[in-house]
Amino acid sequence: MCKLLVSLLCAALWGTASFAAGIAPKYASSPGLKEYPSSDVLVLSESREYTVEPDGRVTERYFKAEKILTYQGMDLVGDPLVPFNSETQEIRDYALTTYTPDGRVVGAKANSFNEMTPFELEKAPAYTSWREMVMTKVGLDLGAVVESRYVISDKRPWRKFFEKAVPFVYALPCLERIVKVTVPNDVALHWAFLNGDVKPAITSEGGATTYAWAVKSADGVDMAEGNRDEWLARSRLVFTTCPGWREANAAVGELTDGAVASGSEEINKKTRELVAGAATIFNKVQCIHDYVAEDIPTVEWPLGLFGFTPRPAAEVFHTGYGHALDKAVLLCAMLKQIGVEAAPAACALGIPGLGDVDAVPCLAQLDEILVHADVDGKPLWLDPCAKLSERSQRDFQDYKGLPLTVGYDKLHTMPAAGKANRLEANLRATVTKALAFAGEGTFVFSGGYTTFYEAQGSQDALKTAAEEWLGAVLPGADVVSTSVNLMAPEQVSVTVAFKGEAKEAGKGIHVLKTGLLHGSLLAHPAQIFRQKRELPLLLPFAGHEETRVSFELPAGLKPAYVPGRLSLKETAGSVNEAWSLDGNQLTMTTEADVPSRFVKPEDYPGFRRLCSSFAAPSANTILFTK
Amino acid sequence: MVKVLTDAGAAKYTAIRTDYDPASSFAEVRSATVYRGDGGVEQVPVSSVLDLPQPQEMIYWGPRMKLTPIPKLEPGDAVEITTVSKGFVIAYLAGKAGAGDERYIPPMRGHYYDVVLFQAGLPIVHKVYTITLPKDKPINARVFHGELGSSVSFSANGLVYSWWKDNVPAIQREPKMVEDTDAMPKLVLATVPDWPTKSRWFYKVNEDASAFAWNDAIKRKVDEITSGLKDDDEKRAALLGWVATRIRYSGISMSKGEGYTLHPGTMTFEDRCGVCKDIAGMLITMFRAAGYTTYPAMTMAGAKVENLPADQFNHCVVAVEIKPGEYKMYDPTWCPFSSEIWSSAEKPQNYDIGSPRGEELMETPPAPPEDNLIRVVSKSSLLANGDLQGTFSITGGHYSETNLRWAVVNSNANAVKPMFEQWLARLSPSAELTSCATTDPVDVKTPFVITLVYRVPGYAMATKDGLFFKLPAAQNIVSNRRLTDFAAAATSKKRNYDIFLRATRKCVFEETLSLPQGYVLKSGPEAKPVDAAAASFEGSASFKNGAVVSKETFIVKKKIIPADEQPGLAEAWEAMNAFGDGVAAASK
Repeated sequence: MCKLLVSLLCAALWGTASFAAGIAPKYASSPGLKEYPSSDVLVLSESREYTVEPDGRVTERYFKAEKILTYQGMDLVGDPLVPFNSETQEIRDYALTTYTPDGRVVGAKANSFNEMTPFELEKAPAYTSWREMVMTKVGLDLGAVVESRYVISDKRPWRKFFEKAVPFVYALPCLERIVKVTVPNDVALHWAFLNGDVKPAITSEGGATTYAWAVKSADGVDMAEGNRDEWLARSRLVFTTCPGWREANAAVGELTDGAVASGSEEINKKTRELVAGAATIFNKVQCIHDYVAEDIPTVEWPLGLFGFTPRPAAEVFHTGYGHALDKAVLLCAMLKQIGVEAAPAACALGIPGLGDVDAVPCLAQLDEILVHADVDGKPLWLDPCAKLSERSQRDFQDYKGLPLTVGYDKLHTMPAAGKANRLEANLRATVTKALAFAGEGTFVFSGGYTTFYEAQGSQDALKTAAEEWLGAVLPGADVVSTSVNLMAPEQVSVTVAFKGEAKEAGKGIHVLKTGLLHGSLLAHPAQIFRQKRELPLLLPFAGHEETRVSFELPAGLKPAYVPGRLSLKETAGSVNEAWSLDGNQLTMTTEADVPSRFVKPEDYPGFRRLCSSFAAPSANTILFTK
Repeated sequence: MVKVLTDAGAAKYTAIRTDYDPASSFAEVRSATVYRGDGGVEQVPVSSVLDLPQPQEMIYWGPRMKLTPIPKLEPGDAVEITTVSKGFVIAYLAGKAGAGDERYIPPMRGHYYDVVLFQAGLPIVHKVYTITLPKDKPINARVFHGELGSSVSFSANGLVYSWWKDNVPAIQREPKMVEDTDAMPKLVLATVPDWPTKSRWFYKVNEDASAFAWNDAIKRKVDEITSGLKDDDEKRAALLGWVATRIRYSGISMSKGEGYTLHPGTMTFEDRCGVCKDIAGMLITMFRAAGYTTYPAMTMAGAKVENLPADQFNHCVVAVEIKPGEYKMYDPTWCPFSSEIWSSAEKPQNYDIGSPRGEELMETPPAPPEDNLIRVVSKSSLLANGDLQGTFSITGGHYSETNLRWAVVNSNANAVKPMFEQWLARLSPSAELTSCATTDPVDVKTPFVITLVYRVPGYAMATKDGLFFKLPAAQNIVSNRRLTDFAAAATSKKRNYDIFLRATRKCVFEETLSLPQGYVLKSGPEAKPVDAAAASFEGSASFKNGAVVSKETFIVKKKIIPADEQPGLAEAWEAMNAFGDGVAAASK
């Protein structure tokens, strides 16, 4: 109440900052840069209070007090965006008050609050009722504390269930973070605190029950370390008023089935045009999928905010854009036109260490949409927003999902790849006295490593893929020809003829380099330059890799340098590399084993050693001197 | 009217956006029609047009847009849209705009200007621009970068001018090319007679708005900042430093008068935020409070201003009259955490000062490459097993130093060390940052130094009696989009357009690499010297006192490099990289 009074007083002093000696007493003893030298801003307190009314309307009350520690901090938190749906919600009682170290108290005026259409929705008229309120903080200074508050309330009941996934760790450290959810006594709240052990304080008053979760002194995490899957390792609260997956499925499945069924002659005509000339069912599916993935722009906005509500397929096609579920609906409708049964599913990565997505029937955490298509009796998984060459079943390993067609009552797990994850290459080359070389080799990609969707379809696609494979293991070499031994979704085997030369680098010194195989788990994982991580590193899958490269040298030619033996065993995996010179035969064999896709932060330095040991010039360079 | 040729093209036309500023302009979509490839015609109901707030970033002045939903287009379809607009998109005046059409009257009452491009990212079959002026209203007009068809005729309403161009190919953009306005066929027109007239208007409009009046709080702050400083340059640099770092770039609207009228200094002092003109306005206010004769100036960051008094400006800066008619320029927006008062990234650059006597269009002189020095000094030692350990000391001058400071002070606090780790990864993926330190990036009076101490297991290829290795300093570890923007231009192939770089540059890499006891250098990398009009490179490596000593100098001589001089830049860049890729050999 005290905070509120001060804020209201400040808000009343439009344009007239008040002065006193030093920062407001309530923040005088708050910690600063000395205590948090690696932070730009310290969140002193943050609270979100959600109240569910008996008729289903929800009110969110938000408050944050944050202290600016650096110049970068001013820009980091200066202009936050608050999303709301102007059709169903109202944003009100917003205020910003800055308390500066020199005693100024600056209240934001009306011009600090600007409503805008989100960039992501500017080409999607159907979704422009969504807005973002920009709250521009004024009077900022080093050491200043800024209070932000707003209320978002539903104008009318519109939700089937109320649910959210709320992280408790963000980029900035926080002294106290509170989430409260109040529901009518006759509404059960299902919740789980994932990747942490925080229990709510539960109180009842006036026919409603309030659950309050509080975490003190949460460290910040450098979010740039990871991607959205890796962010799932943060502690988070998941809650819903939905009683079970059956009810979640019923709520969305019926809408989705109806949306798929709403075909149109426009869709039928386009489908016929797209598949004209395609020889097989798979080719037809691919033509349709490529079109939906590439030529129907994706509305990049969290599905949870859309309430997992798709527009009818006919409307999606007629307007020419859609969010992931819209696009899935259109894809299913088009596939049905060619006799392929298909249905969307809401998915998320479900592996230990990221939090159990099955713990609470909260659809909001399953924010990725995939489409299951039955092609010639075999399942084909499609991302409605990415072509198969960009994302395919190998990328969906360990996914869990809820089918969004009626009749399902539990999460399903993505079946594992049909073959073990294995990457192999065996190359032989003959080197001339002029240090040119030519030879051939076979690449075999199995299970998660499969390159089927990149390489199949055309000779051009195969040649481009082969150039990448060869360029990775023998940088600078050129593909002469390719021949396919096996081209199947779960395994690809291709023989490549090649030529190249050891390039001169320095006076009389010629360099022949080798490298890690294309797709190797040890080749350039994101952010591998970091020496340590706080988030786990998620690899695409676990796997085994073997390489053999053999050079027949001309008589009398001895390399000036050949790498030595390399053998490393870490918790996260192992690598072995050996070079041998047997007569004129110079042979490199490598073997790498990564037993788990989940690399814990404490195991990361060891994993980095595996990567860098292979990538170091001393491990992959042969030198000849003339 | 736009004809769609592919599905990918159709995907770009889900909606058509027409922008306007409700404070000073009006926009209406009169019609939208889809002409189907099979001959069908569909009218898009104008009732479906949405009136929405525009997406905004960093400047929040409340602009709006009319968003016209377009039904799905197919290859072969065309869409035609007719819009009517009145007024201007940026509000110029702080004056009392009246109701009705009064608010559409342009800031320079009775005057008109425009800059019109006759090329775009899509091919154009026909584009025409027509303007009707009263018979007694003369206009300056000139065409740049090509030819346009033109005509002048008259009617009862006045003189009718038209310019057009047919069959214009889509522009093929090139890395680091000059701005579109310096590359595409362009029409510039203005009814303003000359630059001094524009200069006097700009002066007056801000004086009339009392934009630079100060209050006691501002005066106290000025006195506090300049306390103890004797020299005027020093005082102004201190005030610039305060404004540049304490006035955050974020534009909130003062409603009427937004645009060429600067926010009052008193408002910016309280808000501690604004766009370039407000940041400039704050500095002008403080300079005036300190007793300096100071004016605002309009400038064009990133492109040329043609010598025709149209509004070709996107940025606002500060001019101090140090002697009658002699100015010193300050840019607080571009100089936070910088020892420069005017960024070398704005040399050369055109500007027009708003003064009471009226100024001609002026241009800042180019910055010599030596100003923008990047110096990387490596002191390292190799062990017989190939392990390397060493220290990089990185310093810079002017714009380069500013960018080194920004790399630190504009990064999140917990991202600085990973950034240095990323720099070191260029040396070797197995490089380990042992420690890192910088001098205070905020203290612009002290040269900025980044010190990285590192080790690299297995850096050199070690044999029983020899070592093969690359020179650490030559591995270009310092790289980011600002510091080394020339790299993208150097690696591009054939060019049709001039290159626009952030600044001239001189990069010096010095190495002292100690070899293990008893080892001598057998051969070092060889440098191919290049001295071209746009860039040069020279390098050398030798063996002295048990160490490999090398020095490389790479110079980018021009900020704007003509297209036909790009091969010289590429040759110098390739020579530098070849030196870095060269393998040195040492043995016992």
